[in-house]
Amino acid sequence: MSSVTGEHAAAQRPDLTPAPNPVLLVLIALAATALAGLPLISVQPNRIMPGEGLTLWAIGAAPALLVAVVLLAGLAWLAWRPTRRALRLALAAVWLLLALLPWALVALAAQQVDPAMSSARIGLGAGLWGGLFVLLLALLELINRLVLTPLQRWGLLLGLGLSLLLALTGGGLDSLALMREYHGRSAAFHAALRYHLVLVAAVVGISLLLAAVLALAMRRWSRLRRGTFSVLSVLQTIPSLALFGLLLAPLAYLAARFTWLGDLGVRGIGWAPALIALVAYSLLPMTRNAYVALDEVAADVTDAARGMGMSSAQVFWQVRLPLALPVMLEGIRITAVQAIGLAAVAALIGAGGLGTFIFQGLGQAAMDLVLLGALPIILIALLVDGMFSALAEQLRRIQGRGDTAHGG
Amino acid sequence: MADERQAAPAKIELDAVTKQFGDATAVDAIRLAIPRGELCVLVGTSGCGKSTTLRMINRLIEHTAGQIRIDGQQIRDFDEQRLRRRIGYAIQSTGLFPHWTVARNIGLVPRLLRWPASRIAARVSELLALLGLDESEFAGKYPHQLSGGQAQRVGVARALAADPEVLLMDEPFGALDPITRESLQDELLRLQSRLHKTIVFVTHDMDEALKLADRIVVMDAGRIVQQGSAEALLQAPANAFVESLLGGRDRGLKHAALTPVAERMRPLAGGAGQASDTLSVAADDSLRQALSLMLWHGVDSLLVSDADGQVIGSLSLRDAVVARGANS
Repeated sequence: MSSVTGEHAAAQRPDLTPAPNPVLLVLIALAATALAGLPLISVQPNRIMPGEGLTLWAIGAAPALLVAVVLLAGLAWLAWRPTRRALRLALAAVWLLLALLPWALVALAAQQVDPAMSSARIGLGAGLWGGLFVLLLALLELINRLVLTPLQRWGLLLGLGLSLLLALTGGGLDSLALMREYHGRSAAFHAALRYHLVLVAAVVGISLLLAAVLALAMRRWSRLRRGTFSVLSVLQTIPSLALFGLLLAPLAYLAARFTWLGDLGVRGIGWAPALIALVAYSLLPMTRNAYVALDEVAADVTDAARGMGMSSAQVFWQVRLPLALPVMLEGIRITAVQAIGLAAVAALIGAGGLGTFIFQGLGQAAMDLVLLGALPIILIALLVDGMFSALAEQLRRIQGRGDTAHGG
Repeated sequence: MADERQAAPAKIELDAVTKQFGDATAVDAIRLAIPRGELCVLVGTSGCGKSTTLRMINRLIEHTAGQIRIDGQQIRDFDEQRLRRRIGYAIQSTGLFPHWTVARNIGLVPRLLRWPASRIAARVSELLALLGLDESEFAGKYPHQLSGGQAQRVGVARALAADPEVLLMDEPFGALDPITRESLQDELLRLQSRLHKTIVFVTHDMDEALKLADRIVVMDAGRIVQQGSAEALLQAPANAFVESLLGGRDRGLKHAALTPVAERMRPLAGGAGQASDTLSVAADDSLRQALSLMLWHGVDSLLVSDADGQVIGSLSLRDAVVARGANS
């Protein structure tokens, strides 16, 4: 938590000595280069034919160009003298650029694609991806500089999400290659999304349960500690595909031997090996955090709790567990984000999920299909990461430094 | 023995109590009887067994041999948790729960005892007032928002919450700056003059012991080396160890710190005037303060004033140094 006070101090400094913000300047230069120099979109007559990349100059939309140039130049000027007010203006400008991006695409799509050609599609080019990425980094930099409250941060992100959602549902982006792929398989997409989420939730739930049991056992019998952690570390180092392979034979055998397992859907491939492997990977971060969290609760606090006449159960549920919660949440966050990504790989052994589209797309050399799988995975991972971070931060804020204040 | 005990029952009795950790003997067959309402200070260097002794009384550490009795009843006969809820406990780092507000921290033991909520709330208000903490300001605060002195006040309030007859305090003021420590010591003496708890107080600071204790118990290597009043210890330290704890050649000053000016001053016969200049001491200041003033100002006598600033007597250097009459 000391880092928070550090940021507060840093937040007050720009008012006194507004030295140019180099990070922001570099990011703005990069954004300008990406947006102006690289192809923004490509227009394809259909799914097979390669598209033709269009740069900003080739499109030649003068008013849009002017808006972008003015905003970027203004940003650069603000970054040169980053007082707190300038940073706020810069935040507004970056946010506006990001919020307008989908609508610029809508306009582009209307201009470049003949509505009569139902298979013509627009691919997103390197310039657009690069610009988007760099602008998001700039947004993060500004959010950190200005030390926004979680509520303000979520408000900003929600606004961007809303803008994108409106542009998507309005139909103006239907000629986007990504949307064409989506519309071609929307039922499969929703099923895969649901499946992915259920798989991740199951992995997090099961590994949390197992980690809790392991952590408590290690606290009870300290000799278990070394052995448990070495086993979990070894599990962590097995490559995921190898682990799937290793599970194939035993699971197939078990399913054949015990028919009720087979009836449950346990096979050498499918959800069973995916679930087992993902839980195995999740156990190390989850158990380590749970153990450390419970173990690092200040001894004087639990001593006082016992001395006041709390029973062991009361000490655990009312003192140790609540104080350990922020660090345990950190473990859940790491595990969830890791599982969201790894579950994509599980598609290779027929476990389904969003990874299916990634591997299909790779097989068909259809990059937009890959994106249909990859983008939601990235978004979900970011969302889950942000949610758990905010929750842990909120808990820590209540608990102060997680320990009682002593005099000088 | 049993008859004697019934005649004048000590609140807390330690009877040949021993604690062994493996082969090491932390506390070695100590005997101690603490009467009801006494503030007993265990003092010694670190590792002398004073904290272990304290923690054996509420069974945070189980004693290996001997008997510990409270109100004549062996503590092993009590349920551990019920015993502890009857005994107040305050420690150096306060041990306040960082995720609970001040009010909730103070109400801990009453809640464990299942008092009704209204009674707990009333008791918390009462204790905040008793410890000089403004309820509207402090009740809703979290421990990390308190200064060290405030946190320790809350720690003491929490220890007193269920109005226990016995209070165990393990170096409660050890981590505080000298000024805060002194004000909390005064506070404790003020509280004790009202509440008359039986207090066992552990410290390594002999000045603190001299200031607070009805009885000082000096411990070394798990044994009691000497016990008695501050006066008795200063007059006749049992051995070189006790003498060194008492500050060796500073003993005279430590003794002077315990003696109020009123005890040595000559009352003024004539009408009292207003003490105007700085060369006066209050009657309840210590001789040590009076001597310090004389040294600083290079004078050999001071006026003595009462609480209202009225001159009520004088104190000469000779009065301060040599006790008159019976005090030989």
